[in-house]
Amino acid sequence: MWIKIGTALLLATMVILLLPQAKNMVKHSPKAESGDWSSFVFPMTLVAVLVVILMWIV
Amino acid sequence: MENNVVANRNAESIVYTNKLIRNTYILLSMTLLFSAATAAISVVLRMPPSTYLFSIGGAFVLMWFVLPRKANSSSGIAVVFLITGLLGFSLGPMLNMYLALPTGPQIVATALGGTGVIFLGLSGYALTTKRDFSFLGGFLFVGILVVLGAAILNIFMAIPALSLALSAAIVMLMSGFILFDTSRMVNGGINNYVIATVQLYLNIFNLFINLLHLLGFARNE
Repeated sequence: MWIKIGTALLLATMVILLLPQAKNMVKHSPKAESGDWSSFVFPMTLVAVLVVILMWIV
Repeated sequence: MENNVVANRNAESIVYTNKLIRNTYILLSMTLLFSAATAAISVVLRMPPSTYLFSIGGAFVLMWFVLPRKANSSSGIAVVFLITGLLGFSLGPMLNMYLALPTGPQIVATALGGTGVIFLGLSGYALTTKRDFSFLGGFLFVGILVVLGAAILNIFMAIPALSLALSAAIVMLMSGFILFDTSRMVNGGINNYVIATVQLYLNIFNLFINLLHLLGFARNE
């Protein structure tokens, strides 16, 4: 049980430390230009397909 | 005259970026080998499950409180090896659990190979494409916060389907972070190869653990 509590505390600390960085990223990230999202979705689809194939063959 | 100055600045910037990328990948490959060695030691010593928590906790403290102060000095490299060594050592109990299964070695090898293919493929894509993936920052950071929140809940609720969904989400998020971090190296968002190495290492580390989880699930193990 103490390992679970320790892990939860560690993850909660990560959330607290990441929160300001996440807010900063949301506010100051450059906006996507046309075609940016498709150039992201394409490799992500390939990753998803690869993972499914690996799960199939393992 | 002005054209020559601009051309010189561009040339300097390209040389600087190439040096940053080369140094990052050299340090990254050395830290991956080092963490593989510490993981092997942890497997041989049959470390208890609590090793995972203590090693990750130690690496976490170093990452947040020591690395930012040492990143610009030569001792930053020692800190990077300490962080990656601890993270590698934390894998021992998990690897022992998988290796004890009948098809365990195959699962571990497949996860390792899959992680390598995904990392090399996405890094190559981010380095060669003209796109700047810094627009992903907000999306990825919010995604990781949502996943961390759900992971905290699942520690106590222990829902297998949620655990699986979290692993799948982390694999996709880490893949996004590989594009994001590599693109930031190329386009000037990261100027320090020590920091860049730790960020890419964390992407690979989380990708491997969660791919291992997904493959273990696929084998019903």
